[in-house]
Amino acid sequence: MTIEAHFIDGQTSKRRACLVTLQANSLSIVYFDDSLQEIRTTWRVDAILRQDLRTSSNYIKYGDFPHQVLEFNSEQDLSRLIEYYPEALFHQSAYNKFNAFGWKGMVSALVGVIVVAVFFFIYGVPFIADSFARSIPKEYETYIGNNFRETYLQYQTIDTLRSEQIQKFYDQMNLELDYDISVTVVDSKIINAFALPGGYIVVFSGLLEMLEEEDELAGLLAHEASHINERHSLRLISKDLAMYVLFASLTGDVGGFSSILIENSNLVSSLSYSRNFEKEADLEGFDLLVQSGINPKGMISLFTKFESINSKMEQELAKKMGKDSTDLDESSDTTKAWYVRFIENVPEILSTHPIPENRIRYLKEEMSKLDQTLTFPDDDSLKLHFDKLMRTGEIPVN
Amino acid sequence: MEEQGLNSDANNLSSSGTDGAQTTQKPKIRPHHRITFHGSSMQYLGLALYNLLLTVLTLGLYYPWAKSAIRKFLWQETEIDGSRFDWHGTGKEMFRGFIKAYLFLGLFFLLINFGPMFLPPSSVIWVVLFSYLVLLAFVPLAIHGAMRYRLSRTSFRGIHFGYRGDLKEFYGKVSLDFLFTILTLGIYGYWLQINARRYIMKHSRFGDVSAKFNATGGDFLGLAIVQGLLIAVTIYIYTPWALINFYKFYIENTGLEQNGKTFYLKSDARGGAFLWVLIKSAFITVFTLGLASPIASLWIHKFYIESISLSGEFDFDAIQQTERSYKDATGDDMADILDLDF
Repeated sequence: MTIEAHFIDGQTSKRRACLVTLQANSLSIVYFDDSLQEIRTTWRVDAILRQDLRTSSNYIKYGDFPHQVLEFNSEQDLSRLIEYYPEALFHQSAYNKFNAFGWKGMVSALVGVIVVAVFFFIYGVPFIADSFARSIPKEYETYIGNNFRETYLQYQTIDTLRSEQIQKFYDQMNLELDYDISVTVVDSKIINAFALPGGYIVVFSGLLEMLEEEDELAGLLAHEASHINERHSLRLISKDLAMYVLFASLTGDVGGFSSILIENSNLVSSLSYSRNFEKEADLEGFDLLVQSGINPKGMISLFTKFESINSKMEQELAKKMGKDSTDLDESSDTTKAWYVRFIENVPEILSTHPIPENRIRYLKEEMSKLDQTLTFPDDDSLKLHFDKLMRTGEIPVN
Repeated sequence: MEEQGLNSDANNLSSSGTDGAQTTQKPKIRPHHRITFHGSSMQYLGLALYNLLLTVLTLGLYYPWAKSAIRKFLWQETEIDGSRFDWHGTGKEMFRGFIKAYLFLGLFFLLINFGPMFLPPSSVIWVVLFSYLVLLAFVPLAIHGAMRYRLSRTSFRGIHFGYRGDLKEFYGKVSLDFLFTILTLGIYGYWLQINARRYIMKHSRFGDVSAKFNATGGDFLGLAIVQGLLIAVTIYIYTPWALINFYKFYIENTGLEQNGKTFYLKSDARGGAFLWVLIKSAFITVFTLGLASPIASLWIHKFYIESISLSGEFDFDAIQQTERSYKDATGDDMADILDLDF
């Protein structure tokens, strides 16, 4: 078979009309050079450069750099060549096979992408992130946590007296943990508390003021200590990081890197754990309390308190919203004060510790599962520390 | 010496000149060479999906191969004077560069972002600032590497492109301009950009054809002021027209020098037509929930590239091979990750 084409010799860009004769294992090419001399050259089919992406282009290349080129006059001419050498390597590639499937291939690829992405999203990423977080040495974790804590506390007023007192209370609880815990009280109306990696708990005085019994404080501290024990902060950060790496490697964008990480390093105080992490911390905290002989009912009454504040706020909000919006501008001082309180106080703890109704329910279930013969004798020294802590609150702090 | 037409070999084997130039005897009235783009949207979409699947399956490691395939597609579907461009880069080649660039940049981003956890709070700002400066210092290297790799892997009619810039010289120029930019509170940045482009173009080759960029930073600043004002006055409605004016600024100041004569590229892109392409692209992207976004980007690519033409006097048949092959692909991927498009 003979095909008309153009030959380019790799030295200049000049296209020379040529005749290509297809032979068993080679192409025989005939063209005329500038002095009208007839030139014959032979291409071995197995040395034609592989065209791993079949497009509408109509050339093939040969040999080492600088490559010789054969430009066919149409795509059909190139197809004739390819059909003549169906087994030849120069037109074989995984993509060309895929492309031959047309829209069926595209749909399969799309389904494949979705299946793989969902799989990674649900199983792959959390697994990798968790193993990574758990492999970080405890000393590093403590170091990181301490850095966070110092950065955070730079902008806060530490209540030294109550910090000492609450630390004594915590030590008296005698929880069995992998970490030494250091508790700090920050002077603030905000009702909140959070845990930092490596053994640091920060409690806001706003939260302390709504406590009535030592069990409640014990419940709170056990919950936060469990976050630390289960490395929830690090697991969360590394999950975001893994998600990011997955996303970045798909899109080839590293630019979004900073935003995610900066967010994490600055907003650790309001890290919102997933519900699973919260539940894990609740249940582990519950067990820790029972182990130490402290009545875990304090945990339930603490959450009940949060929930009642929550519903009270929601009611108030609904009431205010129900009113004509012009009312808001001329609203009374008490309404304004209420708004300030709402914005300052409540959302913090509710946004970081969402209280689904079932949270109290599963804790009650845990209670009922407890051995009924188990008793929790009042721990006088715990009570003593709690009372001291509460009294310290009454001393005005400069 | 320009007597011969594009396909007018002395023999009569050629029966189908693609541009009909073989009948023209007077070189002066040769038609302009126009770029045409033949890529099929559906094939491109298929390629994008294929790439995405393999990239996901390999946790991103396939990325260099994906990129290489996309380039191959874009280059091979671009035609001028009856011949296609070619991309010779391979995923394998880019893979090493990809890993190096990823490790390098990854390290810096980790330092900038995780550094603060390990450092005393007071030193954080300095460390971050320093890291960004170091990163910035690598930008010329990235551009240099990208130009070397990209041009050496591009060919047309068997003739390779090439980049002959000198890294030290480039650093010298860019650093000085960067200093001026800081001293002038950013105003000199217009000169910085254009001077860098001038340097790069001046050292770009297409066989024995050399390139040049003709505008100055002052031209660029003037254009930016006028276009900025027009955008502001029209409350952004003018944006597509302004983008086209910037594009034309880049294209029409780019010249190819052959046998001592410079031929400038032309672009006949128009803002109205561009707006229409943008609307179509936005529509198809939204309508398919982003699935067809490769098609949209292909439309935009086609619009840009098909607006380019070159004087018919430029002889695509008389270019001599001058380049050697070049292997290291690190710079190429750095440019990509930093999203520098020069």
